[in-house]
Amino acid sequence: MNAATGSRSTMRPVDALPLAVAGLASRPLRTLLSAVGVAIGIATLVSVLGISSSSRAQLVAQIDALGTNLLTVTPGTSFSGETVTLPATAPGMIDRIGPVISAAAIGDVSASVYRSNDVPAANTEAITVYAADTNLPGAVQAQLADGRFLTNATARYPTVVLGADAATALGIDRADGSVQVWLGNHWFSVVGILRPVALAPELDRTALIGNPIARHLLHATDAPVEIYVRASPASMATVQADLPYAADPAAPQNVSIADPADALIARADATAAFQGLFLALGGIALLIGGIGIANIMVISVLERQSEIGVRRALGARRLHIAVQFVAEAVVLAGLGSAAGAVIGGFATTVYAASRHWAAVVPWPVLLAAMGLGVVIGGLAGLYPALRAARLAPAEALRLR
Amino acid sequence: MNVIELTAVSKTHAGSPPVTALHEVTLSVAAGEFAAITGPSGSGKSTLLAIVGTLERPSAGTVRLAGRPTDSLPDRELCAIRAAVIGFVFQQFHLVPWLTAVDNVATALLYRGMPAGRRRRAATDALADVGLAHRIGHRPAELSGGECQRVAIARAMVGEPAALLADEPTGSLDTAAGQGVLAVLAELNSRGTTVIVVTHDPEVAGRAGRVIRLRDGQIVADGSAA
Repeated sequence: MNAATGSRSTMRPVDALPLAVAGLASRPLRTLLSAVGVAIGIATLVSVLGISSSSRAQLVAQIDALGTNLLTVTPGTSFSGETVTLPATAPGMIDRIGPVISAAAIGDVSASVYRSNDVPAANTEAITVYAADTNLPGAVQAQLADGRFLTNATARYPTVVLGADAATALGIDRADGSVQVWLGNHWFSVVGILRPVALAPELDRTALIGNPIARHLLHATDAPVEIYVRASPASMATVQADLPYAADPAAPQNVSIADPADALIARADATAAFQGLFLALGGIALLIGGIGIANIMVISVLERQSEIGVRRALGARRLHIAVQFVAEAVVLAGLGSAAGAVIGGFATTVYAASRHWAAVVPWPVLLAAMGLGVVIGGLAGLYPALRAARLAPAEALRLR
Repeated sequence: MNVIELTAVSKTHAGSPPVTALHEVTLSVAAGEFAAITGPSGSGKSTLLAIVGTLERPSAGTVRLAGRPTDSLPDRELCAIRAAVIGFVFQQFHLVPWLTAVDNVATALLYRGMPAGRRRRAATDALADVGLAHRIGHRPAELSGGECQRVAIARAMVGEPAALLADEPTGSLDTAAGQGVLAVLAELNSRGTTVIVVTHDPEVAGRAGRVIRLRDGQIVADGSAA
């Protein structure tokens, strides 16, 4: 008797989880199938974000390995909007800045390169011809696939070094001097072929000739179109500030300075924008998974009327019934998202391994994915739980 | 002292036309009584049991349990009363099929905020009381009908309620199993539990000290079993 007046109907929060697990474990196949939708959605999100993170980490590591102490100097646009040129003295001036290790320029040459003199003039293969300083490979960390780069000796003669893409476009894979190309109406011997240049990919589709021969044979000016500056890593900020004045003391505002590492990473991030499509697909899978869970929970409530009635008769409050069904939906979605996170992480690892990257699955992504799954479960379980809670106990127990 | 006191209780189920299940029923059950509610189908027996057990609210009249009026209590309080004062036994047992006997019984203590270990111990004891100590790990599908009903009685009794309400407890059982269940109910009554049984089995009614006959939602006879 006294128990009646003193006691309350209460359920310990720790009891909700085993209650939910027991309910789900009673229908293992159904639980498995209804968790699949959420698992697919989460796996998609995790793998898309994981693969793009891995790819970015790979790029950053590659750039770091090549050194982030490279800057490029290009002519900017003048105040009135005209394109300006850098003075021919710029590379030499820049070289005099203390922390600068090396400065190498490329200059415009108004010529095109062809495999032979029979090729029509229009078929330029979009290869640009530049006059290059002989220290260019050191400045941009370029490596030669074959042959050698221009030297002070070969720079005086009609010799050419091809960028990786340029060599492919011209169909040349040997640089022993036996192959010649038709460049600006003269035969040039191919003495070197570059590997792709990670920090200066614009060099991949170029044909590089020496400054002396460019002036002598092709009437090139000495004005640099781009100067690659390698500086001491500790003094990058100072160098960056000094560069415009060294390059063009008369008009430093016309000089444009860039950090190619930043530009490359920014470009990679921009191309990763297409992943938005996959993220949207993952989101749709999650939505469908959530609806599937809501659906299965509604069915479950209908099937379990007698259980709900008994629990109410045993003293469960509406809240307790609602908590039980929401907990089941949350555990169901939580299982799905945990499986999805594992699958997504695995997919990332496999993909990264196939590309010889280090797999990177960011922890925040995993945690957010799990959290998202739980939120979806909670939302999906809400309506079925309210239905269960509103069930009249006498009706559920067929006492009417 | 009266465990249960109903005063002019009526219950009308909404519908077209509305169905009057109970009409101004006044009834008191004293502590320790063994009462049977009998009557033909549709006479309002189950509705009466649901109202006594606070599973339904009356359309009119008052219900006092353990001397306390329940009519104005919020659902939360009624749940507390069900958890503490009343145990239910149903014709279809209503055991949760995926839980073992001991877990089914322990569920009755879940809504009292009791820790799991204590719930299990109490449930084990309650099952021993109904003679099922050897069946605690079995699921309902592995138990006979009589055993299922005894599990259900253990579930109703584990919280030591003042009153046990049973709706046709032998209705789904053969004679022998029914006898066994009746013996358990009589044993509980002899230990002081108020037992109210809805039945149309004359044999069950015969075991009760008091028989209340319902017809068309009204009490037509109320007296000791003769």
